[in-house]
Amino acid sequence: MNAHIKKVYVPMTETGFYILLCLQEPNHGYGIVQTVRELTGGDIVLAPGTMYGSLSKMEKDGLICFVGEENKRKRYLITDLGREVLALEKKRIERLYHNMKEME
Amino acid sequence: MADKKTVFKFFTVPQYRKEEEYLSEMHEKGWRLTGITFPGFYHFEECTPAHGTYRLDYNPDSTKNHEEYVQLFDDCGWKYLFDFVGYSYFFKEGDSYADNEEIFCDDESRLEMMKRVFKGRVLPLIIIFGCTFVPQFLMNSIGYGGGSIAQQVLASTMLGLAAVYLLLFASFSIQFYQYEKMIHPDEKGVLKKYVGIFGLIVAMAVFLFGVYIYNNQSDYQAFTTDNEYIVDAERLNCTVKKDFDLKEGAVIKVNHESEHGELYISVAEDDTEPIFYGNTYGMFESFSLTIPHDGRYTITCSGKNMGGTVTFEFVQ
Repeated sequence: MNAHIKKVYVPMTETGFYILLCLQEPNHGYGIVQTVRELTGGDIVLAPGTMYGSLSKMEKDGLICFVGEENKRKRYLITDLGREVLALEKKRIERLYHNMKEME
Repeated sequence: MADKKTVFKFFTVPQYRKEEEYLSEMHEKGWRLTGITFPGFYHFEECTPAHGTYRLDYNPDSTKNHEEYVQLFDDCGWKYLFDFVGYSYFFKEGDSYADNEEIFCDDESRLEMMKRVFKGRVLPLIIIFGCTFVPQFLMNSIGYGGGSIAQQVLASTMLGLAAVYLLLFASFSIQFYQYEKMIHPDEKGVLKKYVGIFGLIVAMAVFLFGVYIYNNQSDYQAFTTDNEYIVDAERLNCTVKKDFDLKEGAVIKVNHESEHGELYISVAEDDTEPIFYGNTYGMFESFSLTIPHDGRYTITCSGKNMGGTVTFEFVQ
């Protein structure tokens, strides 16, 4: 992982995190929006401008890749680099959660 | 048949927020946007007044995967209208409070869009400014041979255009500052950055106007010796006159060494027709004048960014 990727994606936005989390299975943009809405009980509704921008940026940076099209909706899947970034981010959030619990 | 109307409205490149508000207001008054024609004719069609939200996205990537782009917005409840000079227009009907009314859900992506607008629309303007107006202006105001009327006009035009551009940049940076402050209200670096940008714009303006004013000033010496009258100019942008009492048959030998610019010379007796009148764009040949009869003669030298020396030698 190069410095650029680290700088841009660690730490990452909630949107970015959910995209990578969801794309461990092939999915398209709107599919991710629906999954996140379910996961968060409707609290987080990802907006299309944000979603489209993040997907194209992540594809360009090689965190996700295009795997096929379905009714004009492009499906993506996380790459190895994407998994690395996701693992780093998970570790950071785990530590955050851990520290939060300890200080309670 | 629904009523139609066209309104001319001008929004600068970073004013997409204002434009969104305007379109949403129009919809609430019962005017639905149907299209925009360059440079800013907004076409509306009468509709039932209803709450609706218009949003603009700027994403050059979207042209490559247009179907996917439109589909994603459509899935999220946004109707794609059309593209106009790089912006994509979206509309969502209904109460804004009931449903999500934004096409961006976090500040990072809002900033990303601003950066895309800057890269796609503002940066090219800065490049045009830096690569054409500024060098054109400098070439025509201080460049070699500068000083002909055509060059003066060009220099003034370029300065005018540069001023318009600088005003535009200043207004852009104010608007970008406001967006960025809205997104990161507590970050001190934002203000610093924009103060710096603003300082650069002001410095550029001062530099260009300074060059212009400096090149329209005069710096010269006019003096007489026993038998000579000399105008020695670093830069002559005005008219220098001197009177001499001369006898019939006297000869004036004129010698002109030009460095740059343009010079007009006339030799005339009081209010009569000049015995010599000429101008140069470059070099005068040395020449002589013979005085036709006794009288008081005025030698006039008038320069446009003239640099050089003119010597009038009086030979009895």
